[in-house]
Amino acid sequence: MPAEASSLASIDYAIIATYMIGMMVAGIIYSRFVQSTGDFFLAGRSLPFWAIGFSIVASDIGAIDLITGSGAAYRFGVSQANFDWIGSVPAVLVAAFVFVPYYWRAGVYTIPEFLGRRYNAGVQWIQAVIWLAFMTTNVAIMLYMSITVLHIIFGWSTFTAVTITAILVGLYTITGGLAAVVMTDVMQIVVMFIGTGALVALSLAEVGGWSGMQEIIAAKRGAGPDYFRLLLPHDTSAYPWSGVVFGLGLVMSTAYFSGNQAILQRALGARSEWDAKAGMIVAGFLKLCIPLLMFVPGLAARAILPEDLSKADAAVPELVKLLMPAGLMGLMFAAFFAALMSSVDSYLNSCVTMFMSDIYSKIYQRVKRAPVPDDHALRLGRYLTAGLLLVAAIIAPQFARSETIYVVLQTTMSIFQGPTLAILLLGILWPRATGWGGLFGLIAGVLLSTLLSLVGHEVFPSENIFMFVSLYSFLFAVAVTVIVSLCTAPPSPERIRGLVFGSVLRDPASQAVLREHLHNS
Amino acid sequence: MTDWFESYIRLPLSKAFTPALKSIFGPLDDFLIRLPPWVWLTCAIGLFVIAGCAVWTLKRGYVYLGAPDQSRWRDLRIWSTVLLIPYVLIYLLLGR
Repeated sequence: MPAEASSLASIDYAIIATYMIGMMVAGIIYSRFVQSTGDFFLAGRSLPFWAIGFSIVASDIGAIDLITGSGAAYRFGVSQANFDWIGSVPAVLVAAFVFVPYYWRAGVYTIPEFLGRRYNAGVQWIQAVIWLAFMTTNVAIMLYMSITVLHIIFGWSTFTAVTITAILVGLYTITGGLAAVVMTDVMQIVVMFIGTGALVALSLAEVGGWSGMQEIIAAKRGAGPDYFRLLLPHDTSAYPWSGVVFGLGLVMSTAYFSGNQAILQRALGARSEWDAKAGMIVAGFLKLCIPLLMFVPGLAARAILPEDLSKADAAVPELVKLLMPAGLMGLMFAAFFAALMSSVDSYLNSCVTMFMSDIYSKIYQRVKRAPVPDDHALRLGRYLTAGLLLVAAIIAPQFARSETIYVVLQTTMSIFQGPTLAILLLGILWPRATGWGGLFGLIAGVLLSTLLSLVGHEVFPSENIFMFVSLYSFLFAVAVTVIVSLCTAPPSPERIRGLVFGSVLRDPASQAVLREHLHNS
Repeated sequence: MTDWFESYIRLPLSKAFTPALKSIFGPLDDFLIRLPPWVWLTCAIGLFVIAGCAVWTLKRGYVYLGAPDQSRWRDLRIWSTVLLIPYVLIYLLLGR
């Protein structure tokens, strides 16, 4: 958002206030349905497919994406849209038909829990700790974004801005759990689409449509034809086609949609396996529109703004100030808040679910030699949500001084994506994959991706090497997992029953269960 | 911190591994750079087409599992095909 204060009219304030109160009320209504940990963490397994689809996209598109996505489109052009197009759609189908049914049938709360059952506790712990660190920091970053925006709109101090946002999100996330998060996500994405859709319409009207925008950019900015192409040469500085198709389209996106807890938790809370699968496909339909909402304003900024911006991320905020009339400006800020809140609540809920399921319950069982009582887990889950929000609120202002921690964590996540997908894929598709194979595959893949991340700029021709890092670390992790698995004793059929694709399709007992499900439905 | 990391971690790693990595990835990069744009487009469209075909290899029972009824509109293979069509068109239009 713009660095200077924006001039909002009374109607803008009214729209923002109505949106915030509406979200809070809707969220609190859902809190009445939370009676157990299953209700809190998995919405009582009652979510319909349309809500899952909307919530997946709402969680995926955060306030940061609205700003940086448009900024990247301003800088690199249309190729930025690959992240939501080829970077979504083959992946949501793989998630829907290969991964989600197995997570759902296994009745797990988290992806590390699935990996723990399929492989061993070591794999589960490594995954859980990395994801927890990433998600906690992400919540803090999002709160930091809210500080910036609230300061611009209302002139609030850091303390007031963080406190108000934390209370707004915390109220319904702490009391309503996943159901409240998902249902508010649905409303938030509608607001987000209306707000950003208005900006797209105004931008295109200003430049005379798509062809008008192309002509202005080519004439004024001297942008070549590559600026309007999705696929660029292998040695381009932006996003090379090879990285886009093989790194992003095959590995990174599949790892994201099949292994990101904040995305998949909605599918795990589905009321049926069909709803879980259908929800992923609905997300695919919605993702079709996301680049239009993000990159059209970025490109339009290139055509409309009089000078080249030194910071590309300022493109959309500048465009908002220039084009949005009273009323629509408030709607745009509401859209920004919708993007912000829908991601904060999702990461918050998923973070607590992961801590309870993968760390606390394991320690509790080891110490007390009994499972965590349900009322104890529910109470603790709520306290933890509040505690996590508090920690994130304390950390958030630090990002004003340094963004290094965020960069380090983003890099860490990209380092883990390829190897994680390798062990997830082999874990589900190959019954012979063993616990040792998974652990060594994960560690070896992470070591290679770390090395490539550090020295890759001297090896690969492109500036953006992360897509190649994911691809090659994935292939390496697959090779190591296969070799080590073949050198170690195979897992017993009982251990992998229901967790592996082949075991369900070939095993008569599993097939009978499937037939019974189908008959009952 | 950054200087220390550069001097004691990144540079030694670069010295030790970059020549070997270049010898592995260099020929591959040379090959990829020479490929014409129609190959890029075919690979991108191929991803969508393969996904679309793979979905139709799934058994009806697997696709409908958990659905409240067996209506035609609940066939997720049809949903998937409809989903893929606009993506293929977009890449045909903007991919070249």
